[in-house]
Amino acid sequence: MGEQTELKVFMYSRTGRLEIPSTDIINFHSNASVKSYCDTFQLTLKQQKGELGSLIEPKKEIEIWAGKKEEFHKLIAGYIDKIVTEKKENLDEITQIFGRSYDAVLVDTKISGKIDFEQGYSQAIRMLLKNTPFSEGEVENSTGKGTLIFRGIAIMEIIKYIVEVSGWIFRLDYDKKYHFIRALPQKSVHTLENKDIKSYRIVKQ
Amino acid sequence: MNNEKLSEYQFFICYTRDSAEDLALHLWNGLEKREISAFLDLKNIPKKAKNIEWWKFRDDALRNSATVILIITHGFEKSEEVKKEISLALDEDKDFLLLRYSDLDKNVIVVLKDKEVNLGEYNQIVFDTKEELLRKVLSSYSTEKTTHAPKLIAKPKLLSLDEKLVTIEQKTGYYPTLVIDEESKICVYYNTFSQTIKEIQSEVMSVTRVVCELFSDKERVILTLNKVHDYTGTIAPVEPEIVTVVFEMKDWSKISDKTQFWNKLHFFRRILNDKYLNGKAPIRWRLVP
Repeated sequence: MGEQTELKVFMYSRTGRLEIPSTDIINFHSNASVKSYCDTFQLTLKQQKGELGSLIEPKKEIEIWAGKKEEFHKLIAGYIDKIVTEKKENLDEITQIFGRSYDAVLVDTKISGKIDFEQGYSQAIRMLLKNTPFSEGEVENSTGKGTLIFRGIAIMEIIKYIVEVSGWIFRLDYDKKYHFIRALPQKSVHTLENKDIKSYRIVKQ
Repeated sequence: MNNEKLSEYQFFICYTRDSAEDLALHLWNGLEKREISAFLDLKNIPKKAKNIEWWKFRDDALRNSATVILIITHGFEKSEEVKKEISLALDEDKDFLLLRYSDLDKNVIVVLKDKEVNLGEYNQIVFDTKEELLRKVLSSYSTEKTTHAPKLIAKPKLLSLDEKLVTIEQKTGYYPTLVIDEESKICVYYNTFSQTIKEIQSEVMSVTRVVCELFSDKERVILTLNKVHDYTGTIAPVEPEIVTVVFEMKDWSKISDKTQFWNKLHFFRRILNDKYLNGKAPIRWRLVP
């Protein structure tokens, strides 16, 4: 029997990163899809006390990692949206955390303004995200002059429109870095063969 | 940095060095002798400021001047500094006094960043010599003609982008939420309030027509209608979802009636609200009678 995947949950305080004991994690569920720019997650914990307990509140940053032994990767990261505390008879109190990935900031922030760009949409994206918590990741250079005018519209809506008009791809990762690249067909780097498949289950819907 | 405070000027002298340096100097000297304050870059920009943000002194002086004198000589309209000064003066709503060298045609067109100004449409005073130039400025000053000089304004058909958006709102009732203005195309995104297909179709034609009229220099007009939106995009089971309308401006002259106009429009619908494939499918949309 293989080793079980473990979860690690981290919260950020002024002094640094704090880990929630893995034995306190009751349940975790996330919803990340190509259909949406903003991923959601739901985490159920035993009630936390002390500094950790005070950190669990809306707008705080949270990271969920998954892995085995020392090989962990970030599964999702973002902000807490809502907290529900529940107590049932003869059971310990539990805390349910509802959150969204970092994109939530761009979805919720509506802006008005004007951007003149001389180096294509990449420059427009950089200017749009200038005063946000996000830093530049892979942003390809583009060309073209133009003006962007927007009124009372979410930053993400503007980005989606730029993506639609340009045909490029925008992505915000779990390390708070944004990427804006050309949509080129990518070659598969590895093909699974019969010998790689140990068992399978086919589901048709 | 020189912190010398700029005094207020009665006149700011706007000219091109190529063909009017002697005229400007003569005018400035003549005004100074009569204790009429005037700003001339050659005389009033402190030497220490030369090459170090000299334009800040120039711009501050212009803002602190009551009237801007335009000495219109050969090549005046081509000077980049002249264009900047006229743009700033228009932004600051300054009074102008236009003096044109008699050899020149009155229709001198200055192409600014987002509009053109034909100086021929405004009062001009013609002069022949530097002495006559000074005389006429003094005469205007004494009779306070400049106070009543007409303001230079852009012609209605040469609107700025912001003005065009206001015009779209005035003519259609929709102010675009988002606009991308590129060299060859204009992309307009707005939320529609229409309730029926007939209303939406009528609105699409109306908005497209107004956008085409205002952006006749473009090759393509792209209109995106958004009926319902949330952070995941438009997925509500309503008609339409997100519909994109594309019109090629080369077809503009071929249109004579409503049906013909409709048939020249190309429609696309977002088939999957995804962030990677960005898929759109062309749709056929018949005009409801």
